[in-house]
Amino acid sequence: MLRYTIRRLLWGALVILGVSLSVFVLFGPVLRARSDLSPARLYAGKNPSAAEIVQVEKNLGLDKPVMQQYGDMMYRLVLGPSDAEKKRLCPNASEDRCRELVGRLGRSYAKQRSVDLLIWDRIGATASLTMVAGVIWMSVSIPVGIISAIRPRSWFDRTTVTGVLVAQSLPVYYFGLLALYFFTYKLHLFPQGGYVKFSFSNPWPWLWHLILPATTLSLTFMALYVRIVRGGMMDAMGEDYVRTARAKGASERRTVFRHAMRNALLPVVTIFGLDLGLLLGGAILTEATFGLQGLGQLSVSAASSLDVPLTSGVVLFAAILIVVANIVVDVAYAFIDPRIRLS
Amino acid sequence: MSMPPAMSPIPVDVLAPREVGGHSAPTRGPWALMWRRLRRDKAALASVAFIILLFSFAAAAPLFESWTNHPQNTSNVAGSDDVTLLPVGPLGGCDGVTDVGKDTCFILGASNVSGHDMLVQLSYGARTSLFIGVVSTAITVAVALVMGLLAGYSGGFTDGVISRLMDVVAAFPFLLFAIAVSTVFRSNVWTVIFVIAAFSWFYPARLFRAEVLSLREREFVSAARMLGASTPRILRKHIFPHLVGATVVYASLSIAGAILFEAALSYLGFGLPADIPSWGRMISQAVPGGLYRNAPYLMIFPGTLLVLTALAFNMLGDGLRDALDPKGNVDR
Repeated sequence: MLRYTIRRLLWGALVILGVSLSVFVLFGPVLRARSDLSPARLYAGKNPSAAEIVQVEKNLGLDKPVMQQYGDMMYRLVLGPSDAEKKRLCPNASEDRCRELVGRLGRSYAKQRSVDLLIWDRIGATASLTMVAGVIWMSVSIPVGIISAIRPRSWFDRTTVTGVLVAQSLPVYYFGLLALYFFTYKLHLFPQGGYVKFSFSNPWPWLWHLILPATTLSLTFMALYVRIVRGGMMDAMGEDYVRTARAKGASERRTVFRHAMRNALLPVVTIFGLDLGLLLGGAILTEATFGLQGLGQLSVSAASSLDVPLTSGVVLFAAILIVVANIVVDVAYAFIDPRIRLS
Repeated sequence: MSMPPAMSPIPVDVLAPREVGGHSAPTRGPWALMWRRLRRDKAALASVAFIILLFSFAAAAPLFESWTNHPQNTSNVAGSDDVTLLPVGPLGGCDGVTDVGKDTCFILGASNVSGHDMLVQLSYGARTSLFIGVVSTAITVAVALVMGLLAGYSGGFTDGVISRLMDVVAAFPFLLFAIAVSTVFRSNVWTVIFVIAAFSWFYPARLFRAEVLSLREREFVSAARMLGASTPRILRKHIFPHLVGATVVYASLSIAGAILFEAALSYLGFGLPADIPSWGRMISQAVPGGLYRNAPYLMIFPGTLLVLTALAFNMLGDGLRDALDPKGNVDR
């Protein structure tokens, strides 16, 4: 178990290293080589002189050797901004003010603010969207998958299989636009879009704004999960322990829910954790369609304005979430499944 | 000095297998068997029919162009309504000019506010989608085969490196990264294809690797090795044929995935440059100012075509899987 844990942690470090390196190379040397897109030039104002560009490069820390820039980035990620960097980016500011200007993921060029705080401002919308969508797709796909597995080739099963194929071929943004057209524009049932902060006194506006985007987002996942649940249940129903349960005289209900389902849903738990981790990094297409100001929108606007630290910050943040989700799922799995815990 | 035929030496075909019991069933190769099963699958056949239609639709693009006299990517004044300034609807924009070689109607309407012809843009968009789908799938599958064969057959260190690489790529926030890549590289067709292939190869590669791992231990591979066959020959002649089925199935599903990926990138504005028609961008052009509310067909035409195309390749993939492995689970 210890060896396994160490291996997983090493894997996590490797992923973060791989993602950070690719982002760095892409936005560092590669972007720099294309001088027309160099961030220093982009942020040096109109028609900058060569000297101005050099000055901006210096301010942004782009004059240092490439390897050192990468080292600084990783140092900052792990230990926070160094004193030298603080001096460079917020020379005459107090400690608190400086924390607003530069964070562990650096400082946004375009917004002149700490990337950490920019991400923190947006995470609420993305997390809410992910949560509501997760509840929707789990509560639909588990019962649907189970029913179509215990009644294979029934009309219900056939409809489900067709529905899964259609849902997998339906782009979320197109479905989102159709939903907006019918439910918002024609029927006036839901708001146009946007996000309302959650409040305990009245959570309704929050939910009301999220229902349409969350349903849209959940559709693809629903299709995938129905497939997994259905396949898992079909396999489980053919297993010896199900036959044994029936032979003992257990009711069909007990056989399905106590014996088959508990085994069939194990992989679903894993994949659910991984998908949540993936989505928390930003549901780009859904957020774009419904104008939800979440992480996905943040990254799209960052990338289109070539805001290097913000884009790479969001990509890194998303990668960290994926790694954390993977490790959490592994640990959770060991708790749920005694076969893993005891081996 | 002629010899009667009966006196000839032992007929050569005595060594060939004889049909037992007089009546014979024709021997069928795996492809013939697959085709027999596929022929009974109505959904798969409908998909094949749709795909053929789609290819014809894409091939006919220049025909539509000269027929409607609305070249691709050109703005037409007749394409937007004089009063509302909205794109004209289906069968609109006829403008009363009926001279030969002049304006004809917009059969499916105009596709955006500049008055591009929907029909022409759709059929050039079909070219784009099919090209990107097929080419990036070819690259994806080729890379996946090489990686899967290398990792699965050689094992050890090579396997370790390739497997870790697959793990890292699998954990990439790929849409985000694709956006970053296309911003840096001023996206064109090849950037998009590269991005799609770069984030798609790991999945089939894992399947191939697992398959090769089990094939490697089979007797026929040991036998070939014992007979002195070289590693490339074993891979080519003894292992690869077992992967062809999975490759075909995966390729079909992957075309659907690649087409959807390109459309999503173009919808976000990080896909193809503006002079290459793309269904995804056509959908996105219906969004600004809530255009789709007054003219829903702006998104419904390209959207429906996109869904049907993805559905056809997905259904064909599923049908192929069932036809290649009829004993397998109905799903997966």
